[in-house]
Amino acid sequence: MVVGEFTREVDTVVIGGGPGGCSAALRAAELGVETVIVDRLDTLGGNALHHGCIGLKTMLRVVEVIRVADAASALGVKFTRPSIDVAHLHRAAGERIERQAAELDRLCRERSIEVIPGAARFEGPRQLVIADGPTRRFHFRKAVIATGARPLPPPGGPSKSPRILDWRGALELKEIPKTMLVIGGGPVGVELASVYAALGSEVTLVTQEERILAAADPDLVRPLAARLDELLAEVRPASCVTGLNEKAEGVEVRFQNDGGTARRVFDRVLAVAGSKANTDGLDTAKARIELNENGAIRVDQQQQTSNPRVYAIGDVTGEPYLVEKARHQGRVAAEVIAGGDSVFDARALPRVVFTDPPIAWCGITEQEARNVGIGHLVTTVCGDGSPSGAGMGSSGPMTKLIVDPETKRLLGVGLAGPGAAQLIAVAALALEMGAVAEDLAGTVLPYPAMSEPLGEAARQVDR
Amino acid sequence: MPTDFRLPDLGEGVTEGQVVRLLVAEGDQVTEDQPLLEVETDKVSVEIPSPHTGVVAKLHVVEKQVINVGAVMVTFAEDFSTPAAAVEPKPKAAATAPAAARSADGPADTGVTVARTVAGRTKPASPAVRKLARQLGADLQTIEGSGPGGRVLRQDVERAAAAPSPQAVPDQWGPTRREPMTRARRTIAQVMARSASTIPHVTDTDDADVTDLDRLRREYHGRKLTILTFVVRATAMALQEHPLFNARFDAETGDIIYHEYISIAIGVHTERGLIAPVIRNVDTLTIPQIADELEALAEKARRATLAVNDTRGGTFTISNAGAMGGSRYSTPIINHPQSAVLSLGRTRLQPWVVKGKIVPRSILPLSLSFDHRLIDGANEVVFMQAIIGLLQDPAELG
Repeated sequence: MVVGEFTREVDTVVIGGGPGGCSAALRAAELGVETVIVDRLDTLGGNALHHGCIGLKTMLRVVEVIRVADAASALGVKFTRPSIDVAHLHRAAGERIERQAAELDRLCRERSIEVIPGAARFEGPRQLVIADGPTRRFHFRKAVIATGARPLPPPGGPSKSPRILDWRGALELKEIPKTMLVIGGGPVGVELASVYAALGSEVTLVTQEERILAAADPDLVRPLAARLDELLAEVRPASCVTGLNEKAEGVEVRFQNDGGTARRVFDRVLAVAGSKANTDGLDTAKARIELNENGAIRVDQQQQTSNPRVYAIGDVTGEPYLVEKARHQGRVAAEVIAGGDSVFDARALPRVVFTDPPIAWCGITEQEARNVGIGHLVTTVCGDGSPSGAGMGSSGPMTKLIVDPETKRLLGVGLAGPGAAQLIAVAALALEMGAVAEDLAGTVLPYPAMSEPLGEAARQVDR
Repeated sequence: MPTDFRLPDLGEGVTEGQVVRLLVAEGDQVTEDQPLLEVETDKVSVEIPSPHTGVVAKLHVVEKQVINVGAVMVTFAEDFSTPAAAVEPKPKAAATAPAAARSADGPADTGVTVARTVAGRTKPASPAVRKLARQLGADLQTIEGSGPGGRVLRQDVERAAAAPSPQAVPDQWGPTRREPMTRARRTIAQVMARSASTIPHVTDTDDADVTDLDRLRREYHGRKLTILTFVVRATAMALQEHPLFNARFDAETGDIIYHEYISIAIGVHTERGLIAPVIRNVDTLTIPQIADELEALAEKARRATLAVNDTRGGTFTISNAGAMGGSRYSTPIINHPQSAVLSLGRTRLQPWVVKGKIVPRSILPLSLSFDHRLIDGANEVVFMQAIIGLLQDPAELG
């Protein structure tokens, strides 16, 4: 043993200080469990805080303001063309991020949670070593892996290029590119494509799926798809990117679909099509922690891995990559570690695409119900459908209820249009409570407000 | 990496089953297709064969436990996950394994997929009530919810958790014993209560002189057949002429739904209770074919290898109570949603008046219950006489 090395006994080690890891640590400490957090960064909050949600949210807010200002002309209010100071925008986002990181730091200190910088690696079923810096060894009673996932680079391109970005880079661009290709038709791809299109880029969106947002019901996506057709230069469904070539004038991209191949040059390429669980440096095999076929950590409903001492939460356990899922699972793991019998049994994980118009759904979708063979009945009520909405004369989103045909119990709710991102919270509560359509129909909702179609749809179920 | 084996989909609509018997123990070496355990669903019990050859590392279920489709039953010590074409469980009685079973088998890693996939099959209950159930050790899926849409409420969980365990409990007058019903018994209880409380039953009784038939059946084309075989044939013929008895009443719309096929359920007593497997399209079968079908059903019932779908889709039911001994007349309960049921008593020699003389004849007592919403007594008399006529003149049964 090298001089200065010693093994420290700790109760619970949380590996990763992102939203999931922090909520696990905070909850464990709250329940009286001695907890330390090990994180590669020197600040808490993880990628979600520092390179993701806040930045994206800020940009989406800008896009929304521009559109609302635009729509105001219908009411006789006119603004001049906006000018966008990108550096200022990044600074504003950065300040918000710092405030939130400081808040996490304060909460941890208040609960005596020690934060240790460094990369953790398992040396055995209950041994951890922090390799960078002075080597430190830990003997733990329990460990929580919350190392998240990272974006995969696009296949067929150079490994590093300033013109090829993942979502982290996309939120830190110093100027608005003239042309941009977004690879990936999931929520993040669609959100970023619409942000840059609104900021003035000529954006092309390519997806391997038959349509964008393939996980959502097609009728919910239709209004957004129509809007993107206007906003984007091009949407290429059912297409692959087979090669990326960096040239002087930009990145030359090769596309392939059933119809053949095509080549186009873009200033920037943004790849958000795939992610991989961050398990590489952990040496999970040494701790007898099993991974699934996608390389994510296999867990049960109590977030326990195949090693009963070790739990895993959030993105490192696989899709869907949602901050709120990670936080929830973090609390479950902490409660189990403290001797509780919690399980992660969310029945309505809300999914939101923060676009214009926004889309949100939770519970089962109509296509899932059909594919799995669950008996269901669908009632759809259109909002007033005006995409200029956002509080100006619009009566709310298109609202779709999927109910059990016999009991009329809510199985899923889908929303598309203004207010969807906020209203889905009501739907999630109704689903978790096991509400029947009549419960929703019997709830007095405000007027005039975005929730009108929700009440109307519930009343129609029994008609 | 050990491999989990989950309860596969057991056919249309079945979402849970009760473990009747464990046939292996932890540590046992098993071969592919060797029965691992016996699971009872609505009315059928199924042996679940092993999908692999390997060692049982862990049993996750105990006898009498109710488990949901997709729940882990057994963990094998070995890793069978490598071949990408994952293990397709193939229970003997399973019809098809639809997507539900597969997706529940798949990426269960986050628990999210499962929770979302089975959203339509889980008991409705709020998160707080679900947590309470876990804390009190009550199985939410087995609790009858008293809230709207069957929602499980706090008091339902508390009541279930407080329910006395199956042991001796004295009441005011002496000791009693409380035992949970088997799943099959519970299903029978539900079905019978629904039938008796929703269908206005009327029962008529009569006799058929089967002396000639009894002689014929002993040597029918070199084969000894049961009286039941001929009753099935006679009933099928009578149903063709009297479609009301092969119909059902749709109380919601007030319509009568006529079945344009004749499939007769045969009530059989088994170790697990009453069960009614169906012979399909009986009107197209010859007497020897009916006899073959009856034998096959009896064999399946004895071995408890009937599939769920074997007991579904009947349009009329015949109950052979006489086969069990002394029974004469009864008031059979209609097999919901059918419109009538025929029960056979035991055939025996009776003093009978034939052409003014008392002679010994073989008499088969018949009891017929019918749904008075669809059918009146006058219809019934004609139908009963049609069956009796055919049984008394077996040449007509051809």
